[in-house]
Amino acid sequence: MNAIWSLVFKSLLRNGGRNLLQAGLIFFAAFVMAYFSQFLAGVTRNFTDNLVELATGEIYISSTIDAEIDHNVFDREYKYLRVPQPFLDEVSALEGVEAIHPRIDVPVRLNLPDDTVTFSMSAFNPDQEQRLINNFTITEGRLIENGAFEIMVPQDFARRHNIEIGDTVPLLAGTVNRRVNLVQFTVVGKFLTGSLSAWFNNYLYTSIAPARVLLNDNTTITRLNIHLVEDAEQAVLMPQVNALVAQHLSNDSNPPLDATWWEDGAEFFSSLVFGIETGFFIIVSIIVTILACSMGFATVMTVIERTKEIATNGALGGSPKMIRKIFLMENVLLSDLSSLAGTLIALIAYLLTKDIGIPINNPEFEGFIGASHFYPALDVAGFIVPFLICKLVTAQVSFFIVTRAAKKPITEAIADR
Amino acid sequence: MKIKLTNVSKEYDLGATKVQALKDINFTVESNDFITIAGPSGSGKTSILNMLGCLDTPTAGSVTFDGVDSSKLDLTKQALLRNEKIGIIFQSFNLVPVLSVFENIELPTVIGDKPKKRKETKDWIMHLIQSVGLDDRVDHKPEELSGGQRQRVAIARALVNRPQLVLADEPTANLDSVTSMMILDLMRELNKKENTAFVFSTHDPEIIELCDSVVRMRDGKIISEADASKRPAALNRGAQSGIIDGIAQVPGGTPDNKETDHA
Repeated sequence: MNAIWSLVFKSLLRNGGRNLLQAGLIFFAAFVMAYFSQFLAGVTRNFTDNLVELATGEIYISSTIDAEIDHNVFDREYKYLRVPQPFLDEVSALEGVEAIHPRIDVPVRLNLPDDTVTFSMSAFNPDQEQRLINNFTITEGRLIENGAFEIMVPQDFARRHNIEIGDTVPLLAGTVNRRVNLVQFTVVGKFLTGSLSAWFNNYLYTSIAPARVLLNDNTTITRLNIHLVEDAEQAVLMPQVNALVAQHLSNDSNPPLDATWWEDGAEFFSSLVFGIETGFFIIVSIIVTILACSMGFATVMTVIERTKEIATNGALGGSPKMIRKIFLMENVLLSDLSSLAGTLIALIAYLLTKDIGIPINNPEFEGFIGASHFYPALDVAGFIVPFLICKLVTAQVSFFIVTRAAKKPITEAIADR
Repeated sequence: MKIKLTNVSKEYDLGATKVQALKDINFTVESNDFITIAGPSGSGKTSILNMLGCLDTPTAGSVTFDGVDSSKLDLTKQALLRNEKIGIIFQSFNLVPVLSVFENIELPTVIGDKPKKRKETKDWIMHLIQSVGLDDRVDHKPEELSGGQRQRVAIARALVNRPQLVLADEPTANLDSVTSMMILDLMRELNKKENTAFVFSTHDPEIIELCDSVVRMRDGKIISEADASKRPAALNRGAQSGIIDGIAQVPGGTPDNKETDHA
């Protein structure tokens, strides 16, 4: 370690009390900014976004010509879509169609004993979709039965929310008739999935009929997979499918769901989150201002106390740039160490609270959503940005003060008593 | 090495009043010089040293260092000039309290705009520490040293970049007479063996007696200049004491007494 680093480290110790106070303030600032960033990310990701999705989820019909590629055969985006049985029958009867697989993918709320969570639900016909079933590994319980009010859930999801086989879980969804419907489902299986696990594990599964009950409409689907005998027939078949779509699924007969009611609710939460964000930014602004003033004050004090030392360094051949560098190194090192500690503690706080959550009551949704929790969610930028803010504020404030001090005439500074 | 002050005046603005610290000074310092500037307080001794050390700029006149007008250099270039060619010893030592003896001496080698590699300078620093007799105090802080030891650290610090000129502002003012003589012996020997010019201010008659040239000042003017008429006895004492035996012998022997160029 050369004399400069030695000077930097030892200088941090020489004004122990003041530097400790500074370090504490930077630590606190970094902690508050980093932890509340995680909290805010959690509010947005785990709660509001899901609620907004629940209110405005887009539903579409697709044709799976290639098993790996979904094609949206419609130009417009649909909300909840009523697909009458004659349409399905006629598509099924088209020459070259091997099978049709209607699906329903919707976000639902689960009212659990100690929490309410939003999750995605996918409905399929387990009697007809062997290829889909092959993707699941049932780790506990069994596969859902077609037509029964049963669900199977990802193993991790069950563990996280203490869901056991045999539990009855109330599911809640927005429906096509502008109301919210709540239906009891029984958990019959826990699963792991294979190659597409990341995608599959984001869903709980039931069959088509009970999902339609939940959505309060016995014609609703959100996706139609059409399997062809020969892939080459796609070009011939698609115009026929489109003709049937035009015949049965015109805009007039399938108005998009008016989700105003849900959107109002989502808007409420968006406003709530906006309020929290605004409050957060006000708090951060205050903290940063206090930090800047405090760092400025401390640097001024240090510079006054060390006027003669600065001048001596100048007399020994230290340029103003070098003298400034030494002081900046001191302050930025103090800032880095303190904000790193604050960020690490914020990370620990995040890990401790990510599964516990902060309970909230939302009376606007009383009766069907009930009490819920705000959970922090990992937001890497939320850790990096506070660290950088502390560093930048410290460097910026110190820069101006030290630059002035370093340019003070040496003879005048040395004469200071 | 030649530093020349030509018609230098310095005026300090103290609000309502103006103080003329230097009045039309002409003064030259060359290699091997061992000059003392004597005079009462407020006579302008420190102001001259500040001009020589590029610590201050004249209100009128010019200060040239090897032909370059140092007062016209920017702050960074002035700093570089000080770092590479000038060593400064302060009356109150001005050591950095948190650094050890070694680190204080090392400081000029790392704060310059062209920091030197530590490995290259470490041996030289240890050599200087040995030369000033502080080899058993390498890791001590300034507060753990006596006044004389601190001043020896300051001298070693001033010499660490092998300057051509060392300026010392009343280097013995805070020291007892025995320590003062030791410090003077040391500087004198460095002057001889390292070919380094020394200019220092003092009003101690005993010290004045030891110098080759004496410049006397009053009210900002040089009022007289005199060569020392005899070889300083202290030089012989210092040489015999072997304080700086380790420093490489510089050819040239004892410098001749010189006449200081002044108006």
